[in-house]
Amino acid sequence: MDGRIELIDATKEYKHAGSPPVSALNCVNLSIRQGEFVGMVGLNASGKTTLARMLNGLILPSRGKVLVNGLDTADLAQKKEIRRLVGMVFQNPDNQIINPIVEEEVAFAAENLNLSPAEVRRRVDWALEVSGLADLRHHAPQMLSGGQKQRLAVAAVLVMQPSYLVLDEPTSMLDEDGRYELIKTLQDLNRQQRLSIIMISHRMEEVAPAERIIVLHQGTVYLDGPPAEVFRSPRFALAGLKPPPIARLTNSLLRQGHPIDDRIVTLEQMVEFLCR
Amino acid sequence: MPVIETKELTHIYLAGTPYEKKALNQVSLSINKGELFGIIGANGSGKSTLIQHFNGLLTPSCGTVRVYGKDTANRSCRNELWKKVGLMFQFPEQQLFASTVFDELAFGLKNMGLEGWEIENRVEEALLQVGLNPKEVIKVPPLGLSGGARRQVALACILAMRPTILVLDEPTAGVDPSASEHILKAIKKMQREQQATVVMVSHYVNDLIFLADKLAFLKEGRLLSYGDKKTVFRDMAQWDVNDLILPEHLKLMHRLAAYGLPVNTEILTLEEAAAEISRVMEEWARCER
Amino acid sequence: MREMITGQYIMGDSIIHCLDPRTKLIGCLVVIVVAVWPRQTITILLFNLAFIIIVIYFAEVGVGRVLRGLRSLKLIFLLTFICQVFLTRGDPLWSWGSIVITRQGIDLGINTFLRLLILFLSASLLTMTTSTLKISAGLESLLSPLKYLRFPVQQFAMIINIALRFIPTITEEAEHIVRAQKSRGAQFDSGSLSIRLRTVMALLIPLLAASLQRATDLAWAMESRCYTSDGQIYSRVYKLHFAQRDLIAMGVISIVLLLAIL
Repeated sequence: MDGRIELIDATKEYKHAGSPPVSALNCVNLSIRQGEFVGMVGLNASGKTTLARMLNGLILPSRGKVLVNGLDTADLAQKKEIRRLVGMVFQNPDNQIINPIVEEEVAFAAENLNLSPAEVRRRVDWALEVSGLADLRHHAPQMLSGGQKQRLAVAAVLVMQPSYLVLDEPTSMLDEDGRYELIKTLQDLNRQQRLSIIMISHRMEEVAPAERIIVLHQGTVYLDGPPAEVFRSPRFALAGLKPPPIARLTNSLLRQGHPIDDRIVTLEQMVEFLCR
Repeated sequence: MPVIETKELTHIYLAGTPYEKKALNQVSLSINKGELFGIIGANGSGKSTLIQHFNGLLTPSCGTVRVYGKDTANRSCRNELWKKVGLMFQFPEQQLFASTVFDELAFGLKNMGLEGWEIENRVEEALLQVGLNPKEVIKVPPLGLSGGARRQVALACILAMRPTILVLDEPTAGVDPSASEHILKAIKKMQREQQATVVMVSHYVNDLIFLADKLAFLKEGRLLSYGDKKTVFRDMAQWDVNDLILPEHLKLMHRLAAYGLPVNTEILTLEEAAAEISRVMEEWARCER
Repeated sequence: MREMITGQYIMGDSIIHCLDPRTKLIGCLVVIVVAVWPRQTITILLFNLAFIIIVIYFAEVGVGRVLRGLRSLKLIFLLTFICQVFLTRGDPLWSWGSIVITRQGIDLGINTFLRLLILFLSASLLTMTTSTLKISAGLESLLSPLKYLRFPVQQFAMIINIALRFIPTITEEAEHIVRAQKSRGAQFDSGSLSIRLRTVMALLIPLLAASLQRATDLAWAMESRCYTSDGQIYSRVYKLHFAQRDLIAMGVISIVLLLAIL
C-alpha cells in the first residue's frame, strides 16, 4: 500500500457557550504523498495550525476523516502508531524540550515506544547524526542556540522513525543562522531518508524550495500547487500574502520580456539559470 | 544632533563567575534625532543588550551611554528615562496582563501620572495608529486576541506614552504578514509625523532595507559596520561569510558577481536588482544576435 | 541574561557528579535526618557540617559559589538566630530591662543556625551535582516499592522532572517581564501598597499565562512523542547503575551516621 495522508471533508468547529460554533477548518480535502516536501502558508486564523495538528490526531475533525497510511486518526487503537508515523515539531523549542541532556531528550520518544535498549541506542545515535547534533549529545539543551534546539526537537521526533514530519512555524523564533541550519537539515532528510516534510511558515523564502505549496485562507484550501504557480496566482495576493523576493524578480523580468524560466522561485534556481 | 551616544560601551554578564560573558565589546555609535536607526545581528550578537542601555535598564560595565546628553550611569536620570525612551521587547505580547485592552494601555499612562480624558484620548489615538479599531477592541481582554493583534496592542502600549525615542526589539518576528505590515506602518508614521527617533533591531533585514536611514551591524558583541545602508551592506557581505543575513536579492547580486557576471552589487531595492539582471540579459541577447 | 540561580546544576565530572543519584539522595536524606533529629548536640552538627564541606570540596563546584547562595537567605538565618537567642528561657547570661539573653538561648541559636546551614548546603549540593533527570530517575527508583501500593511512581517522577526542568526557564521569563514592565514605568520598589500590588499583578499574570501556554505546548509535544500517563516504560536506556564507588560512598555515609548516633 502506498503511503499518504488523506483528509476527506475534514471540518473542525470550536463551540463556545452562548455563541454559534466557529469553524477553524471547513471541508478540507487533501492528499499528501509520502516523500513530498510541502510548504503551508496563510495568515493567522487561516486554519494552518488546526490542520497541522489533525495530521497526527492531536486534533480530531468534528466532521470528515483523516487517514494516515489508511489508518483513521479517530481510531483510538491506532493512536500510538499514528503519532509514530507523523512526527510533530512545534514553534517554541523551549516549550517542547523535556529532558536536561540532549541524548536523553532524543531517547524519550523511543523509550515511550518500549523498544529494546539496544534499538533505542541505535536510533538515538542515528537521529543525532542526521540532525547534526552528534557532538552535542552530552550537553544541556539550555546551552544550545535556537537553531540547535529546534534541530534537537526534530531529532527527538526522528527516533520514532516517522514517515511524515509536520513542523508548525519552526523557524519563527530563530535567527538567520538557525533558520538556515534547520531548513538545510530538513531538505537533507527529505532527499536522503525520503521523509515527507510538511512545514508551516510565514516566510515565503522558506517554503519556496518546496515541491508543493498549500495556501490556507479562512479555513479552506485556497491554492495548492507548485510554488511558481501558487506565487503567480492572483488568489495568492487575495489571501493577504506576498511572493518571495526571487519570485517577484522573475515576474518582473518576465514582464520585461526576458526569456527566463518562469519556474524560478529560489536563489539557487536563479543563480543556476543565470550562470549556466 | 545625537540623542543617543555610546562611547566604548562594554557589557559583561555574570562577571567573575565561570559563566562570564562579554556581550558588548567597545561599541561606539551615535544616533541622531529623527533618524530611523536599524541594528542588525544574529542571536547572541549583543543587539538586545545594546538597546537595553538606551533606556537605562542596563548600565555599562565599561564606557558610557548618553541619552539626550545625560549619562545613564546617573541613577536619578536613568529612572526618568522610560518616559522619553519607549522600549518594546521581543515577543512583547507575552507581557500583556490587564483585563481589557483599555486597561492595558492605561497602565503605562497611569504610571506617568496621567488621568481621565487624557488617558482615553491617548488610548484611542494609539490604537488607531497601530491599525486597530478602538471601538472593536477596547473592551476585549488582550489575551483573547490573535497573536498579531496582541503584538499591535503591545506596540500601542508604548506609543500611547508618546516617547520621543522609540526602541524596538524584533517588532515583526513571528507575526503574520498582515500584522507585520500594520506594525511597520505605525513605526514609520511615528517617525515622520512626530519626528520621533526610532531604533529598530532585527535579524530580518528585509524590514529595515526600506525603512532605515542608517544601519549598524553587530557580530559577537562588536560593532563591525555602521553608517548609511549601502556601506553597511557592502561590509556585511564581507564579514558575513555565509551571507545569511543579507536580503535575498542582495545575496543574489553578490553570488552573480562572484560568478563573474558584470552586475553592480551596490544596490538596495528589488527593482534595482531586476534592472541589473535585465541589463545583463539584454547584453547577452545582443551578443547572440 | 541572568544571574546564577542558587543550587543550579553545574556540569562536571567529579567523583560526586559520577555517583548514582540514589546514593546522593540517600546521603542527603541521612545528613538531613541527623541534622533535624531532636536534641542534637552541637558537636554532631559540626561534625556533620565538616562532612558536607569535605564533600563540597570533592564535588569541585567551588565552596564560594555554594556559599554565595546563602546571601539571599541571610535574613532568614539571622532572624531565626535572633528569635532563638531572645525568646529562650533559662540561666540568664546578660540582661537589659526586659531583654534577657540566656545560655540555653545562645546554645539553641547556634544549634538552629547550624541545622539550617546543613539543610541548605546538603540540598544545594545535591542539585548542583545531579541533573534534574537523574534526580527524578533516582526518586523513581527509590520510590518504586510504592508501586505495590498503587502509587503512580513514574508519573510522580515525571512531574518532578518537568518542574525542575522549567525552573530556570520561568525564572528567566520573570526577569524578562520585570524589565519589560519597568520600561512601561512599573515601579517594583514603590512605597505605596496599591501601586506595588498593581505592579506585582503586571508580573504575575503574564508569567502565569506564559506558564499555562508552556504547559499546553509541552503536553502537545509529549503526546506527539507517544507519552501516555498510564503507560509503563520498560526500557529506560540511560539506566542508573550502582557502581563500586557508590558502595564506598554508602559505606562512608553509614559510618558518618553511626558516629553521629553514637
